[in-house]
Amino acid sequence: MEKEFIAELHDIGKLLDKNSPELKRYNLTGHTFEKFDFGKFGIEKPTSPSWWGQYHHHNKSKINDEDLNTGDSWRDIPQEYRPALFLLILADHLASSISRVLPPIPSGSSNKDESKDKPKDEPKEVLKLWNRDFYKKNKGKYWAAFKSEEDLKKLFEIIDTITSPEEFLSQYNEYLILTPEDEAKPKNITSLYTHIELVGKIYRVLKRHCEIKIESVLELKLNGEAVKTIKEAEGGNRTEGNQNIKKGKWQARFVKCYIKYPHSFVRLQDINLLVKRNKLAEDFFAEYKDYVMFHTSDFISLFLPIGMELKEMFKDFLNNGFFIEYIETIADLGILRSNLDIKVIRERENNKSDITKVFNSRNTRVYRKILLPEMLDKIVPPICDICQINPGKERMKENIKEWICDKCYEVRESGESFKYPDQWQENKIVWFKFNLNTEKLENWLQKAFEKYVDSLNINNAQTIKDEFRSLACQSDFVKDYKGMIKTFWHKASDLAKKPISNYDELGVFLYSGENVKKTIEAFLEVYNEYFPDCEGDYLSPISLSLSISNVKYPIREHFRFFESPEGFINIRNQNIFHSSYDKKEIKWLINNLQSKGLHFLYKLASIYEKTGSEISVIVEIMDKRKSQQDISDLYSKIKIPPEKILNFYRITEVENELYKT
Amino acid sequence: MSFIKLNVEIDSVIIGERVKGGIYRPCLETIPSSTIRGAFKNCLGLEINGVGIFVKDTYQIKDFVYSVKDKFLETAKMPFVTEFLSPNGNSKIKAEIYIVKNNVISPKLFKGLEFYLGALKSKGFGKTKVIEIEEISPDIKQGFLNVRIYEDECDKFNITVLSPIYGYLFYPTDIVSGIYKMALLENSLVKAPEIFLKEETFYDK
Repeated sequence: MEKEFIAELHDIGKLLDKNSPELKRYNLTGHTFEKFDFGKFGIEKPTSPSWWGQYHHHNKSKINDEDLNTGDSWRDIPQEYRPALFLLILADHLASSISRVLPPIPSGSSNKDESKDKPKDEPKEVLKLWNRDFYKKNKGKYWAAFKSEEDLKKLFEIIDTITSPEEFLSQYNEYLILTPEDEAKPKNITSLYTHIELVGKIYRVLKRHCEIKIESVLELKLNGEAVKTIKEAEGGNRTEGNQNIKKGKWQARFVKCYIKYPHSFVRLQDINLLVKRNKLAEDFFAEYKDYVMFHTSDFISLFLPIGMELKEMFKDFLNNGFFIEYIETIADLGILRSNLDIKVIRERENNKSDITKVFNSRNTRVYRKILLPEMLDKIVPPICDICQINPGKERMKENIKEWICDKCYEVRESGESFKYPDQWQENKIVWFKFNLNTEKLENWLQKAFEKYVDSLNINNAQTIKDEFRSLACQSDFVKDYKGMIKTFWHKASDLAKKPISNYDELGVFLYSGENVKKTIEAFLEVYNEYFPDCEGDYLSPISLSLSISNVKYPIREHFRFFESPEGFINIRNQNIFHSSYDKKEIKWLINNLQSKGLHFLYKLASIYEKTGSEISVIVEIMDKRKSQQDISDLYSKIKIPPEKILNFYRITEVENELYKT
Repeated sequence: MSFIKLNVEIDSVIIGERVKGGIYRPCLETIPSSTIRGAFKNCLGLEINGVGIFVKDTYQIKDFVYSVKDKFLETAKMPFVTEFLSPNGNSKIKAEIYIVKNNVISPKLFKGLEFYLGALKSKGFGKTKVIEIEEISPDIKQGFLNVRIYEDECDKFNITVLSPIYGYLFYPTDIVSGIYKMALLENSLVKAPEIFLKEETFYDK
């Protein structure tokens, strides 16, 4: 049986430490081995189809411009493997974190000021924009999987013996996550793991939808468009200016899908809808694995060919009452990227006609649409209390009459439902939810990347900033987010319960000031471990919301609060207050707030409420600065409004305060 | 197309969703066309097409507990909690109501008008006073809808649906009964008078 072409192996050379003393005699350059003299060193040359992935930068990338039937760069490659290499090159370009339009930036020479002093063999380290010391924290671990002569032989063996992408990714996971996709700054921001994972997925999607004819002349068609060169398929790589903007023949789509539901939870069991969502998502990922670039619990990023019907893909979600809101970007492969929609919309909004003209001439489209379940034109009452889109049927429970449709009732009754422990009854509880906002994430990554580029003081900084492609970074970030929540639960499993066992974003615990503090502290600890360089403020993509109420409080109100977190940590106390805090504020409050001065905080909050004037508050604080040193410090140094200090104090420090209010 | 804009002040108001589990009734934070229609039919006896938007930060959500009396059995039903919008601070809730202007519906009708909006009028909720009246002819733009209207009313409001989010609004067919009619909800992508939009957008059609 013919072996499979495994696209993920194309960058295996990046796991090799070329500068290792044992390998000096091989004079290795670059990260591919198409020119390696196997005969000279007595090493067996790989023979599997995957070997031909080594030619993806062949002939100094002239391979992109030449006809795959007649071009010099293609001549060395057997005809039967050319289509796979052709599609691999396209996938490699699409999955890169910065457009390949930029000239290669040699390692160690990116910083104009420091380049002279830097050693040529500067270590290859992946730099996570949100965790810059990630590599250093993995002490004792080294990025290179291959360092010795034996390793080099092994590398070539692997090209022949690895049988699946999953096998390679799992065997070399620890090296792949420490190695950057590209070592040259500022391209060192994505792990090789994520890059090759995305390349593999995109390659297989293209392969599945590409018509390949291997006869006397090779022909590759996508959506009926035949091409002979990479350049012809992609078109130009630029979206502005006059050069390199030619229309490409092949287009594809990046689609951002938000899974939403109209349901309003009535009883605790109704959160089984989230169990249903998780199950549907698992089935979706199993069926469309390669199309899914990355996902969270309520967001899926897809790479799709033209013509693949989203309605068909999401039919099971729609049949279960979910709706899918999506933003779809269609563009030439040369300019397509997951964050292109932001650029297209921004240029239209700013009326940049020169750039918009280029987009239009290349038939670039950005749609925002919503897939809805089948709905009736009208419903004769009653309507379902929960989903409010289907006719309801009368149901009686505990002498309470409800109107619930069959689908919602099935969800309510399905599986094991969460119940509060007996000792929680008649007490206050705290529901909490972690949230990752993917729109904020895109914006945050763009800004963090720009900051990184500025710190390097390099040429063409603005062009590099404009050419940033956030997909791989987003995928890396999401992996760390999931890792962070898992670590949180290791720390907090005695403290809180998971209402849905395989859903880590949601938790609930019995209220006490100490438990609130412990939960926040556990969160801050794991956040600092995974995202130390992501400022915990209102721009942060990650947030934690806590909703405090009595045990009988309607569950839907907790979820309504969780829907739109305003800040980094959001705390709501049923019918009393809600406040948002950033990381700096909450750390100060936890570390410095002493259990005295409550009456003074009440006074300040009352002054602020009555006057709305910060000056009046400052005057009062200055007046009492000696007796109320802690509060005076909190206000003058961190600028936390007295109301927020008071609210935090009430839920964490004051015995029985909640019950009084 | 011209609209009559009413700037109104409200004491407190309940525009309820479906009651949940027989004990809890959440409150909407927008004024659907069904509510406007009902309010003016009561007050002026006219079929008026309009929608309303509460002014942000002029209200907060609070709970009100009450028990309905079963007039037939002369017994009290189980008490339930309903959310209501209450003024934020000392002033009143502010809202803007947009009414489709035509030959019958003129600004004069609303001068100094006081009327009731939403539910539980008998408990004092929904008292609304018109403070200011303007006639406006807004530009048509693409954007996310900020109001709730019956789907078959779109033409009357000059709204073209691009990508809808549908739900249902109650439509009384006579004094004791009605149906749920399909309605266009907030965040639908539309081309519409800019007064009905949360924000302008620039997507392809």
